[in-house]
Amino acid sequence: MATILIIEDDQRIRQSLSNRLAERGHDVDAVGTAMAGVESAVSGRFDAVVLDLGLPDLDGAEALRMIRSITDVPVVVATARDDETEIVRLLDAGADDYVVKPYSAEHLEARLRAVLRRSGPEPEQRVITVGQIVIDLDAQEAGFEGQPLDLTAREFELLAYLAERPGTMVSKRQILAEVWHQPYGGADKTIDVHLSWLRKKLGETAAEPRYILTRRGVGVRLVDPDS
Amino acid sequence: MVVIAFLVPLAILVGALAFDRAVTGAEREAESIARLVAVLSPSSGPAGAALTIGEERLTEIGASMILPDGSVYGIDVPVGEDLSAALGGSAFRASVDAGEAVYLPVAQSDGEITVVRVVAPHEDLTSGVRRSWFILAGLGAILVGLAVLAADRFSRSIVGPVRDLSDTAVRLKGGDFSARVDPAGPPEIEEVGAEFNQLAEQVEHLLQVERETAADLAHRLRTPLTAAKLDAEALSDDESRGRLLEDLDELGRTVDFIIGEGRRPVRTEVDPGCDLAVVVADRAAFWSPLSEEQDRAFTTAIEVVHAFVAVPEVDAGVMIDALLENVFAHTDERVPMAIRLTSPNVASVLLEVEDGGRGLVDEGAVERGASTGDSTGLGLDIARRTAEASSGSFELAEQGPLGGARVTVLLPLIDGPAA
Repeated sequence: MATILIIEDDQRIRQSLSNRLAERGHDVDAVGTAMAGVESAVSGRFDAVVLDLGLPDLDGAEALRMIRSITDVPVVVATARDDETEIVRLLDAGADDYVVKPYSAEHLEARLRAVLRRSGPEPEQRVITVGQIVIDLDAQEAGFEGQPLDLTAREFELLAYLAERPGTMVSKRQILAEVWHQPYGGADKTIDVHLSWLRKKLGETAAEPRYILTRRGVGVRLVDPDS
Repeated sequence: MVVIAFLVPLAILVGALAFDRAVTGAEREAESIARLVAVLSPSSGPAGAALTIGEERLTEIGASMILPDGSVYGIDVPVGEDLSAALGGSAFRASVDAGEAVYLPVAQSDGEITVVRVVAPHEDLTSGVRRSWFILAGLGAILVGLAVLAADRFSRSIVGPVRDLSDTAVRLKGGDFSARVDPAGPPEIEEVGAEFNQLAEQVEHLLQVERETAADLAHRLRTPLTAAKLDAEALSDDESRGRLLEDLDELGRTVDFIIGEGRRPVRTEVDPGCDLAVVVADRAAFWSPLSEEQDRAFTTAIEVVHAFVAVPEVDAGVMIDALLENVFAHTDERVPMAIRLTSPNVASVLLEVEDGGRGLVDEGAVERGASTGDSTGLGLDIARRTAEASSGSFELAEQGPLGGARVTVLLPLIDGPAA
């Protein structure tokens, strides 16, 4: 469980999010202004920061720059704006990840887990192997049966997301939230078609699956067929 | 008409002037001879006067002297010509075969009368008239030509800008809010053009403000929506929590849709259009593995080489994805589907997406076209709005050739990029 700082000016979100994360076992502190947030963030007490951009005293991006100039604490930006330019600007300014409002506590927690994992002690090489599938997260490359896999960026993200939780059934809603950054359901077919492409590239079919197992109405999981 | 009204009287006047000039000349000659006769006759008699003036001189100027005894000097006088009025002492003028004759009586001291007759021949009566008429006719033709040219230029200066104004109004009506007039022509038309541009600017500005306001409002809605979602997650009743979260998700999708619509003008500015044939091929290929997995017959027919439309490539892709995803979401596996791109005429392209499902009646038109349950209908709404934003049309038909639902999108073609 982590110690999390929430910098959010909306009192209802601050309160609700604190409660939801606390219910999940996190130690949460929440402030309503950028300056208070920067002051807390640089104290070194927190494992991660959730930063809202629309703050009353200072622009969130400016607060992010101030935090980043002093500490490497992981920062997940929570923003109502989802245009690509804005998101790229924030990531360039030092954000570790972002969530677009309206997010769920589950979605935000998953993002926090991911940034905490990334900010932990660096493994020598971030390579995941599931059966004959090898995924190099740093090089953003994947291979299958010794041959490189030609994947689109989204296919790679989806495969890496499933490979990070081998054998775990993941709901399409989770995939949408964490791979597509889309906090709603209702785009199942988009996931289905990407799974179809992955199966095709892994040389299997939905009728005769080996690595990608789908359970209708539940979710999907990546398994090692030989284990 | 003005030229004709001016030239015809002028031509008549030229003829009259030539006639008068010749007759006046004849009268002057007649008076001159009459004076000589009056001077010479008392001493040498009229015959002597005629001889003194000389036959040659009289012939040269077309004159005759008719003496009281009936003898004639100079040119011959036709037999039967009525000289009684002149012999009676009256001066007059009369048309004769040779031209216009002037008769001038000269009274002798004994009361006898000698008549001086001078003829202005036809060639003198019309001397220079024909040439003048040719000049006038030429002048008239030039004037008419210049008038036609001037009228054409003048009408062009009016008709051109008015036509431009009309074309721009049609484009504006069709949803192209960037359409502007190049103000030209007479001052009044130019002023109308400038006013029209201001009106178009105002319409575009108001629409942009409206869109931005809607998008801004949608952005603002995301914050309370987040709070509501976090609160909903805390509900202990699973059923209520699930239902509320679904409702909030749908609200969130609608908010996203409004924001997306607000950004449409920016996308259009960056990417004014695409080749729909390329996008259809790309998206059909993208969805084909899922159709293979579901054992569907998926027909892709692109019957045009290029189909440039005023839809940004991203929007075209989203529209086609929405239509195809709709088929996958609302029909069973193994149900055939098709995407077709044809050109019904030279000005437009027709995109058709259809399936062999149960059609709209069985599945419920509302479910396929609007918001309900786990289907938001936003996909079809996006397709509809994308078509309408580029002056196209969208139609959801109950039954297509495959037996199921059929969606058609008709889009006007635009000029492609220069090769």
